[in-house]
Amino acid sequence: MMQTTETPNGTLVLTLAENRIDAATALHFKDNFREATSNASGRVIMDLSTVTFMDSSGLGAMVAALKSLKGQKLELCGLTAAVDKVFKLTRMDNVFLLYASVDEALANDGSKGASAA
Amino acid sequence: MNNLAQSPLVYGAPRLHYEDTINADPLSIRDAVVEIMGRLRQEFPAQSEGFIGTEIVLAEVLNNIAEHGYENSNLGDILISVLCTDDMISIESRDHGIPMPGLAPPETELEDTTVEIDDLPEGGFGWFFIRSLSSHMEYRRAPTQNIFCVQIPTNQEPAL
Repeated sequence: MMQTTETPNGTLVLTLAENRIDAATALHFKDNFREATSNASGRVIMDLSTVTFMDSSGLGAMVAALKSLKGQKLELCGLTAAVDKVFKLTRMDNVFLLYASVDEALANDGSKGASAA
Repeated sequence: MNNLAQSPLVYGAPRLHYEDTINADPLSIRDAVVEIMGRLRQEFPAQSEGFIGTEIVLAEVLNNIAEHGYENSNLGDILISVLCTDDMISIESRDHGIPMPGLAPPETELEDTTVEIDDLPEGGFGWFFIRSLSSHMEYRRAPTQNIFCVQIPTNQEPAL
């Protein structure tokens, strides 16, 4: 469900092959994320542009994913309207670093303040 | 199988009535949500934006039943009924799971998300979403059934 590419400077870019992160996939998502990022030492960027729906379980899985990075930020890109809504309703848009696209995230040095998201 | 009946286009009358019985497991719930939302978007293309809230509420209501009413057993039926008028969607669920504690929907507030990352909540968002996105909800316990109704305005999103 998760494809990983690594840029030459060690940034991990995760792409989801899943368009719903919900109660049916949340557990699988968490496991996949931990596996994909177990050796990550640089930035972790996740492309969410394919995700058209996220429910409370999915949001909980995103928070669990963030926690598993042990202090490293989780940068999320390409939030669709439905995903954006759950982040804004819960004010999680201030917790993650958000970008319009992976290109925009890569053009940034990863130090963007969370409040500017 | 799905029993889909479309009423004649009368102002204020239901334009879409969907009723189905599904098994209370996450994959069946997902399939039902996708099916219902597909029907709604097809019937009301102009309101697609307003349906984001409907999809979240629908998923949360059904997953709550699977997780709490049927205690994640993946066993048990949910009867879902969706009525859609020009500006309102009503969802009714009936199940034979355990009653809601206190015979009422939980009064959950949004937990603080301006805390340290390790202290962030990983759950408890479900009822917050249902309450935030709906204009009215009602729960009652019949002798052996939970009956839950929720209404979501679709022309304008409720104020937060």
